[in-house]
Amino acid sequence: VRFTVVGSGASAVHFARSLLEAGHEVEMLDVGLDRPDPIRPEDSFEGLKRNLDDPVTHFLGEDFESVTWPGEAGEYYGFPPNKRHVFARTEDLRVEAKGFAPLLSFACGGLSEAWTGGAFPFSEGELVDFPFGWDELHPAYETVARRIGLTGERDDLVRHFPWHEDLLPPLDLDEHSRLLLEGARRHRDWLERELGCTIGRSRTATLSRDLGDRKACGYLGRCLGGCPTDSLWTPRSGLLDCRRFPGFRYRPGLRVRSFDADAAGLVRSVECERIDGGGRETVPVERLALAAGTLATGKIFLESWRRRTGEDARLGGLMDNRQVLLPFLNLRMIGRAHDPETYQYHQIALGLAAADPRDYVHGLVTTLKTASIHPIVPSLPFDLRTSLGIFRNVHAALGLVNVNFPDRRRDACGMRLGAAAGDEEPPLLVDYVPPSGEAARLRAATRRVTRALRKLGCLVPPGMSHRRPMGASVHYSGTLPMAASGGRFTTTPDGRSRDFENLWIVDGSTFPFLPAKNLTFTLMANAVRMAESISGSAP
Amino acid sequence: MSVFLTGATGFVGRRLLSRPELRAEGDLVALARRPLDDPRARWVAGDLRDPAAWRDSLRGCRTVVHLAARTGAGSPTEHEEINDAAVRRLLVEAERAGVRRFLLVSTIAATYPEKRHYPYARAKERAEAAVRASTLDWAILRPTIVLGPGSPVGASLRSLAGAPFLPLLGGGRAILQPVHVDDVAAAIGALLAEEHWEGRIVDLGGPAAPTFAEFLRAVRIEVRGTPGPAIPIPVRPLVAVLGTWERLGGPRLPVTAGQFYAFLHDGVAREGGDARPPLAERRGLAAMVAELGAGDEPRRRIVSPFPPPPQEGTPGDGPAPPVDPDAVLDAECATFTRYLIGAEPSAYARTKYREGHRPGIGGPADLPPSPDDRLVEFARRGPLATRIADTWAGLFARGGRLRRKLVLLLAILESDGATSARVDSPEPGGAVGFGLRTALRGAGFLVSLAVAALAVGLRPRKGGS
Repeated sequence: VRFTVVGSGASAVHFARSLLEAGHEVEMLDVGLDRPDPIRPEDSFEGLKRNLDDPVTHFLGEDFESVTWPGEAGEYYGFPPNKRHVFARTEDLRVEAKGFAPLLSFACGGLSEAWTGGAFPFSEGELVDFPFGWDELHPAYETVARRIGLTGERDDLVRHFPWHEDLLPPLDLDEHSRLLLEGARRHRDWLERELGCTIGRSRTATLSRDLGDRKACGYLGRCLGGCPTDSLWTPRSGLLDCRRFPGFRYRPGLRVRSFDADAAGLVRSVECERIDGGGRETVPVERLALAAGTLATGKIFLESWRRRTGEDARLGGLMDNRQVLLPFLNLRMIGRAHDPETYQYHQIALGLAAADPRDYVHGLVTTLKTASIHPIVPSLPFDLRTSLGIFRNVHAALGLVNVNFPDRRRDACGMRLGAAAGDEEPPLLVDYVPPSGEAARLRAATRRVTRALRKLGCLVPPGMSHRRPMGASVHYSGTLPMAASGGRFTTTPDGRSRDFENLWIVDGSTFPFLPAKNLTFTLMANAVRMAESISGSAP
Repeated sequence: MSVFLTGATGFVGRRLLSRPELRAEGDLVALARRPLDDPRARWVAGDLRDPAAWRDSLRGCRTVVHLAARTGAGSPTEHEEINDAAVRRLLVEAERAGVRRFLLVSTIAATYPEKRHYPYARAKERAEAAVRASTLDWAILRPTIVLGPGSPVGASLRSLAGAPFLPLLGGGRAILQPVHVDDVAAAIGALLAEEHWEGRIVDLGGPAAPTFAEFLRAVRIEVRGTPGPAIPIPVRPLVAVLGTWERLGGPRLPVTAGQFYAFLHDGVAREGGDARPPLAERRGLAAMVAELGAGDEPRRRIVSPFPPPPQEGTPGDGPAPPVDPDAVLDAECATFTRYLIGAEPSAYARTKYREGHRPGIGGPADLPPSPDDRLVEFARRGPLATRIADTWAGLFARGGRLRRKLVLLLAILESDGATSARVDSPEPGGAVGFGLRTALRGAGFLVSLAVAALAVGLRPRKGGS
């Protein structure tokens, strides 16, 4: 059977690989903007500064596009130039959003090319809204773990992220993370009793030992600029794995706009734009799988629906994780040197328990080491010389907790198409309304995390927490949910559309609930589960 | 008979022009340097320091209302000339011209118990003494801080209250008793309506007397919705340093020691029983704060108080040599690098700094011209000037050109292996060394902040009348 898969992100490559392993053919249609080749992959972060002829262009870009100019609303860290391809050309797809800051990617590998590698399985309690349980997803988690290489430790956080096999030993800790973890273990009982807070090792998709062609993490400190040795798995690596199968064909340079179905509701072809300006192309399909990411998949679905029925539909239930960034200062690290040649992303995770497991709040603790300092220093309320003098002495003590909150499907949040004249491409209109009582929930959780940090000897500067706009976490989901039974704009548990018989939705669109954890690991596992289910029933 | 009014184009003068008591006095003669386009008054163009321009206009006037004053960061000489000597001259000419009554609008600062470094208050005190010694029927009105639409101090307070944190000068403990400009105009009107003054001194304040901290917090809540963090800034050491500097005749700074006095002494009116309008009828604090917060006119753009550097060359030297923009940027890069890390930039850093000024990349070259650009000019004078200008920019021009240039340079220095260690590695001494250095840095910052904050809060109004 030949499947046409749209997109090359985390879901797409695992869906494709499982189909390929089952003997099917896969054609992958993708815009596929590729990254530049890594520069001097043997050099460390500091080594690049010393050895490159033009380090400023490397770190800041030809046009200084990675400088975070003062006065602009920004994050605590920006994207380096060599990750710019992840968000390039997205203006080709017009999105008008209200209450939502949408991010899209046309990169080869999709948005997960810029992920930080957090891989946390959903618990049984978090899966109650899904049409399957832990037992059905568990094998798929292990399949993904074997494919991409995950590190983890069996510690207290097992109560929030179930244990599964095929985990590699954890990465080496940097000194700051080591001190934090030591403190967390010392105050473990107090944290549990007073705050319902569990702190332990994060699980990350970065190799602590070689796996296939990929090398173990060399602790070069270059994670933020894109791992030069592919030790941190990204979907691009998954795509390379797929390309080893003779039944796989990757077709970059195509942006799928819609599909056409016959009178019986069978999808027959997809309409693509050639990004080289070569016009449109119609690609015939036998079975179609949309894995372009929730927004792009929704746009393709809605445009196809409009072409077929003349009806302007709306897909409700859009979800995303609200995130609050909480900077802190570890007093024991003040005046010490930071070590840039360490793993840069989160090594520590924290979980805040809730009576309903779906209300679990998830935190990722990052100790800032090689993030650019020029966006941070001007945020201090002093002149820059004073700010810099303070910062360089507390740099090693700085950390950031990214607190993630769950989201539920609500009709008020969703997407539809805007008006367009003639053959013009309609914009995607996205609406998001925060759930009632959100501010109080954020405050309560932030207070718990703040108290936990204080217990670990950290100072949490007042007024420095940053509530990221909805959309910033890029964990979009929920607009074409899977359910055991349902009507239009839903899918079966194996992702088959109830509106088109040979259409599968295999990305986050199908999630009926969004736990606080990074969903990427579950996207991959669910794609594997769906592909295996389809293969089992395929003729 | 008519009234001779000085300061008609000023903040209080403009409101006074609409008072009916002024018209009841007969014709109005208004001395002002700027044109006064008001049918109710006959404009006499002239400077207070030049009696020849206005002497004859005093003839036939029954009353002089003297509002004009030099406020803000004037030099001691300016205060002496305008706020004291010119008043004496006006008194002499008024007596000669047969004027009967003289109203001096003074300031509550004239009552401060100590004015050593405050030439404005000393000059006002001497002017009051001269008025009291005159043969005319006199009155003296001493308003506290005056708020209302167009209040320069009010607009600056609003800007201070909207800053990332509240700079509580002198700990914010000094009491101020703000009064609304319409109540000041009404009080002048009430005095004009009286036939005889017979040596009256009227202190005039509003109905409430909050501390500076309470007042600023209230305004901040109006402006930003939250009270926000505050930083107390000691003032006495700063007054001593600036006062000594001024006495030694050092180059003029953007602020003066005297401008800190409002944060050292309570500015409270000692109310007599005869001040009009009655206290209960004056505009309340909440109304003034709300008016300040709402900003009934477009929020005043805070213009940099830093003057541009002196122009090189003198008239007669011929045309100025053409300026090489790259040379200017190179010199700027060197000054700013010395300011940020105390070292010289490499040739590579200078090149990248120039490249960062290419138009079209969202950098410093892409900001539209702004009055804040004078900060850059001032900062180019040297690392110390850069620090003062940057402290000011950090409060009020965070997205301005100076900050954009400095952040560009910081980004370059941290990316360049030759300088990255100076930018981003701890200094020796561990936590103890850090503590000591932070205390020193904090003191330096507070001085710089106080200079910068005062430059904004009490920056000089243009002109002496």
